[in-house]
Amino acid sequence: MKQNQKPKQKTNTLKNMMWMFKVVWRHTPGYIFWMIFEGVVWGFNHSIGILYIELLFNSLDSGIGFEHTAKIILAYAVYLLLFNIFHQLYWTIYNPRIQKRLSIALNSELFRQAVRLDLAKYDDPEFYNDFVWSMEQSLSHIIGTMEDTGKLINRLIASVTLVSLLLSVNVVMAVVIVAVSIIMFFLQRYGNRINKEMSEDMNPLNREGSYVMRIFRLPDWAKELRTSDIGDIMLGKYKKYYEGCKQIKLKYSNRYIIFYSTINIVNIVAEVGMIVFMLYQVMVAQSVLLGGFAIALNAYWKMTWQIGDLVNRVMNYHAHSLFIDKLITFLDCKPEIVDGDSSAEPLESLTIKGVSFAYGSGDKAKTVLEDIDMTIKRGEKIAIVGYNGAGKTTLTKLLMRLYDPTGGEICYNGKPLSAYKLDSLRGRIAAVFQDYRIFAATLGENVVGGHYDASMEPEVRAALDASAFTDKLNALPKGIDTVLTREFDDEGTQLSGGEAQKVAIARAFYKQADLIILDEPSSALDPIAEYALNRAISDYAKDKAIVFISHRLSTTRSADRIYMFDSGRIIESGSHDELITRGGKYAQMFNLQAEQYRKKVAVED
Amino acid sequence: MAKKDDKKYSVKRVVENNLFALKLIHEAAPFLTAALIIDAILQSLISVISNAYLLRYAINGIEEGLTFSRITTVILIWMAVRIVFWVAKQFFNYKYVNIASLKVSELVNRRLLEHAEKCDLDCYENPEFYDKLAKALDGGLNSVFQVQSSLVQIVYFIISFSANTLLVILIDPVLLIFSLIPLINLPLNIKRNKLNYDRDMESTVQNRRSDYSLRTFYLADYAKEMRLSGMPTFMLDRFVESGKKILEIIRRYGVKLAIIDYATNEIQEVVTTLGATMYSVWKTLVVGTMGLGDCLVILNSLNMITYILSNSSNYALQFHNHALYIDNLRDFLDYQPRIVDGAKPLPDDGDLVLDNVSFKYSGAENCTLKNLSLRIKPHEKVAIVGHNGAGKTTLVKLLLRLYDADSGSVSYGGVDVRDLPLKAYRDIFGSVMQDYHVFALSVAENVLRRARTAADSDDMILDALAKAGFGGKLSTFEWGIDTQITKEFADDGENLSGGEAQKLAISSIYAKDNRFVILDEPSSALDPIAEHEMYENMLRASGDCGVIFISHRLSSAVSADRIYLIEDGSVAESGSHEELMRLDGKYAQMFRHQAENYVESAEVAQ
Repeated sequence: MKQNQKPKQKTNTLKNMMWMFKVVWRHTPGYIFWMIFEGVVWGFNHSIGILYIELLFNSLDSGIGFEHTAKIILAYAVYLLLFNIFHQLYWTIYNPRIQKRLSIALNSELFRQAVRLDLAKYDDPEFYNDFVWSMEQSLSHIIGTMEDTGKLINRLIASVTLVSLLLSVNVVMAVVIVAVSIIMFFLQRYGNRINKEMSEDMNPLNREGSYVMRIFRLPDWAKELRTSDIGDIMLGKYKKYYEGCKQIKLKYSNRYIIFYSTINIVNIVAEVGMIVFMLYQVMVAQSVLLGGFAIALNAYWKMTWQIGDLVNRVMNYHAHSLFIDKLITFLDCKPEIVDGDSSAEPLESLTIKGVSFAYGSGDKAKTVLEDIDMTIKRGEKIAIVGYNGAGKTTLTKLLMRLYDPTGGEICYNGKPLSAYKLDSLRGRIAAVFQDYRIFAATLGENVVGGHYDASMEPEVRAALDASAFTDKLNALPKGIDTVLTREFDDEGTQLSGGEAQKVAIARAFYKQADLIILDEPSSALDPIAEYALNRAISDYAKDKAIVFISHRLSTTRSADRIYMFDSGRIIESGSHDELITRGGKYAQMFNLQAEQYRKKVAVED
Repeated sequence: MAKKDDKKYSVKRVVENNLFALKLIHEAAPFLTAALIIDAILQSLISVISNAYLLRYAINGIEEGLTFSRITTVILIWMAVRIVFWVAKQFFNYKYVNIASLKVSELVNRRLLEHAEKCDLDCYENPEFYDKLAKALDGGLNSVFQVQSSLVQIVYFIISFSANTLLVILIDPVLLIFSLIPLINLPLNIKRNKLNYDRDMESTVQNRRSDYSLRTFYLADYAKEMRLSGMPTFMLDRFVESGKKILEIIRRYGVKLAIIDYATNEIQEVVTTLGATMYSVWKTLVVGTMGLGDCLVILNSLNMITYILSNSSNYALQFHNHALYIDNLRDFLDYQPRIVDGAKPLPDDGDLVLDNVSFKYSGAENCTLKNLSLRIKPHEKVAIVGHNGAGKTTLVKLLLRLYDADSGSVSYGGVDVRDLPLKAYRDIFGSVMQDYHVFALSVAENVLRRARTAADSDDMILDALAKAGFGGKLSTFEWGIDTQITKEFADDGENLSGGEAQKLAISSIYAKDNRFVILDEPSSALDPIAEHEMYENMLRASGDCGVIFISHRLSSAVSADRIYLIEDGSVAESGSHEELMRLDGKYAQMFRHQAENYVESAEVAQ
């Protein structure tokens, strides 16, 4: 496996920061203002503390008297009382609220963009990773940038004022402190580089370690761990993982020892050197008062801390910026599937003319459909059959305009799909996907696919009835208001696979669409339920168009027209009887499935 | 955040749990904790001496008229000591502590994993215990280390506290009074912790709702439905609503928290620090008994003392919280699996018999299996059919002894399976579960489901893959049976579709010498042709061994030697297909339903 080729990720930090501030400004302008203000106030606060120490010790040293010194202390006490009011107002009251407000506003914007994204984007693993990352972490990075910026202002002002205070005491001192700070800055950057290199080395290992943990932890694997010896392989991997960690830690240990020893020596020597130098000034040269000594020492301690923090903040900016690149890519991503002008009238016909489709583009393009011709009219029942991977499901995605065909055209009532407003077009089509989802919401909300209120009850009940869910519904104490899944509610109802599928089907029925697409609708149903469902669908959808997808041919044989797909092409089409008479692939497949039934029932007869 | 149980922990339990953690560390790295404590003592002493004692010596020295060179010499000698210590400490950290800590991690995690493997399957399906298991595996190691670091930290603070207190007593014991003032903050700190905890608790539900909404917007699973229904608006509204509720909670707690913070800060900074300063200044200027050096260092020392004192309640709380986590860890490690080895040898052959078996999942209201009896002879092909939820899969779990029956017995060759060695018994089966998995391992390892040894020839593995119908896919793999499955760890790994993954899972039963093969709904991801091929292969390849397949597709059952129709946890009908059709009961009815479509048109075809 190829490990980190260390792509030095380039990013325009400054530009990205400005972009981000604009975003924050748009949603919560107050946050920016107060963040800056707080940084400035705190920056000065550090120096005021030092100034107080200077005044205090000079006053002590010069022997002006107790009263004068006491006044200094009291003045500082008053200052602290006031300053802390500001501090609390900002940090405990204002900041948590504004962060939450920003979170609501920003996420809403991200959500809106997320649903506009073309489904095709989900197939691009690189984009999808970045997209998930944007959705999960945008907030923490944006707030991180804000907080880091506030602190950075604070540190800069503190450093500048501390140095100027020192200048007033002793110029040499001030210069030395600045020099030491600069050395520290670069040393710490070097330290961060070691950290980064080591964590890059560790990454692949950590992934293996956590994979093993996951296998033992997740219920999904529990049965296989107990019925095979796969656990031994995993434990072996785990041992190797620790062996690898040890090697890496040892490999980096010398660099760390040298690095931290250097940092410590520089720190100790600088501190001691400063103390000795100041002692010399006080004792021998007698050019500095004791107050000067006190502030030099305190200012030095403060400065080292400030600089250390400053370095970390600056480092963070690089990470923030890399992330903002991803966020910008996501927000700038223009959907290709956009609204047309027309509203979709009730369905008369859907015509598919020479349609081809490939997932991905360029070298990676994988052709799934080729030269498909098909017509679906109101009231017709169409079946699409074929092997796994023949392109059946993909075609339905094109019908709903989740993707646009790469070649050919799909027309709704004679006009291309792209001429219609997306919502209006998709409003005419309902679908039950193979991988349908139940949402953590009430049963009613799941059927409606949105907000539910009591006025919708008759339709919701009718839809649930049509999908043969009524028995289960009657068994639920809270009926339509039952919360589904245990996501938030420990009392929530977990539906079985078959029940969940019925809810998904009810969702399609409720929509009162003109075209219903059912992708393997009976896969989770047992034979009796499947039979009941087929009847229910036929009854319900007399005047609607239905597209069935199945590899169970018993389900599809009553269709008006059957299209047999093979490797992305239609190889046969016609009614069941026509296809059987033709004796082609369909007939072969059907006979294969029917064989067992036919033989055995024949015996009975 | 620890879930605060209402259970009150006795001091004894807290001590026991923390000792438990330290013992684990001791087992892996006997000297680690002791070494870290010595390190903390040294570091604490060096820091107090540098920041307080030495500074005091220097400044008081000026007033007492010591020479500059004398003071400088002392300072430089001490500097050398510090440098030696800090350099030595780096060697200590990177050559010893890091490596010893890794040993601890390995030991603790290995123990957790091995124990997880031993736990009954029930542990994964019982939410309460599963929660313990998941928490132990996720955070167990961390909680062990936290006990150690809290202990080391406390030692550091005790030394620092003592050394600073000694200095204050040397200078002026009255000042100690100032360091005691912040003790009045203790109840305020407790109140603050409680407020924070309550606030977090109140927000939890809303946070979970927000997170869920967020997920529906980005997870690929939801993408299609989100584009075809009104759900985006619904989820967005719900997100905003939860956000506003959280905002309201923050607002409600904000002012109270701010007031408490303000009070504790001011007591600390203004009353204590400035009060002590005022007193020191008075002693220096008016009474004249305190030197300037004393005055300078005393403030740092007092700050340190008040800091340690006002946080002292946190330390006790820390150990209490660790105890909660460790409790969970211990509960998990103390769990004794109920499904354990028996002492009798495995019979060489025999029938699998379920005799009057009843079984109920823990926490479930109704029995899943009720007085179920059935017999599977060696080499017999048995189909178990029935509706969803009839108990078919549970039956398989009992056969594999993933669970034991509540009443009745499961026996093999006349011996109750509870008396047989567990691993040897399970080894007579090859099984493919409904929710089969492929692993991020090589193709060969996925086939073998164990580490590959020299005895496992390529041919055997290739043969198993071919029988499962995976040969075609395999021929497209660059590295053949050494190809990594999934891209989890290898960029050139192969991701499999559902049908391919199922075939790979099925191949594992051909690579093993089984007495029985269990296939739970094996054909769900396969298309008809592949399904047909699989059955044909299965029957041919399994010539010798018994086959048990579970299905709700009756066409699969027809060729079985014996069919069991399971309904409501019991065997409703059993016999061969012909017998059951003649019986004209439920099986016959179900079969006709499914056959209806095929048969009519089959007649057309003829």
